[in-house]
Amino acid sequence: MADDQESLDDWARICSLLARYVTVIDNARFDELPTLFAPDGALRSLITGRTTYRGDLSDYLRAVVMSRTRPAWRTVHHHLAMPAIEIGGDGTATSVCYFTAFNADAPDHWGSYRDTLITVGGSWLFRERVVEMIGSNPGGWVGSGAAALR
Amino acid sequence: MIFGRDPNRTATAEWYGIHRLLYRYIACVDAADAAGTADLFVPHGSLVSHVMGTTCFGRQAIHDYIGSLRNSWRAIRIHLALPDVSILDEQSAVSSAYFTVYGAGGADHWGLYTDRFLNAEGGWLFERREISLKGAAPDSQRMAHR
Repeated sequence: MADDQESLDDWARICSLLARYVTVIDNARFDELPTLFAPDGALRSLITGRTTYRGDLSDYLRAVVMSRTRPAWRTVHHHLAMPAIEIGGDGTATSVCYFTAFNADAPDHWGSYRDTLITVGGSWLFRERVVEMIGSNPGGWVGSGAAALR
Repeated sequence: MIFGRDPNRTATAEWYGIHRLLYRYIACVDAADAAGTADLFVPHGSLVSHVMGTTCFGRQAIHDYIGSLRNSWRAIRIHLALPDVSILDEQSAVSSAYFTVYGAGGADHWGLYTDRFLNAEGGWLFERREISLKGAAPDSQRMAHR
């Protein structure tokens, strides 16, 4: 088991990773998204049942952004709640974090991220990020079916 | 790099210090504590609100602005999302954080804090806070108190 200071360091760095993911996807930083994942890392969507591996994440994000076809949807922003993080002593951790994605008009959709994390070269990265949607605005980007969350 | 330029233990302490400042700002504004809010900025600090169309330079201007705003608009609460903080060095850092302002009718408006910090006067303080509007409910009250 990690000591208290190491746990604090890890907790802060994992929080930074979670927040950076949102900054990256909301600002369409396509090439940066894969760098947040381990070499064998993947994004798994329970919305569609599909899994996207690290090598395909840039294209995935491009498709998602391109599907924001209405002006109100161009500003989709993912607000993260405080995560529940469990740090193991073996360079692994898990995290659960709720999110609410706002567009310019209203909350668009909301759900949770369930993460398995791993340290690679001293940095925490996603080994698997599972996205689950809890609800959506029927007229919104996701609720209308316009979002390319493949 | 995820955790600034120097991912070490000292950076973790700074990370917590900045988070404390971010949450302290929300507590002060929601409590209509104009003096407390102003003290979270360095003396030459600036607060730029694109939501209200206001720019304040210096603690006195920030004090006066927050005081006038909160006197007319007390029934709101600001929810802060998990911030993305980067420690640049021992003296400076930057952050972005989403917020949602809730009123009695639900989510009123939402946006982004973009911040620059200085390590001064024994702790982290805002050097510049910029507030950008990203969306609003159709019946938002934010414009009623400009």
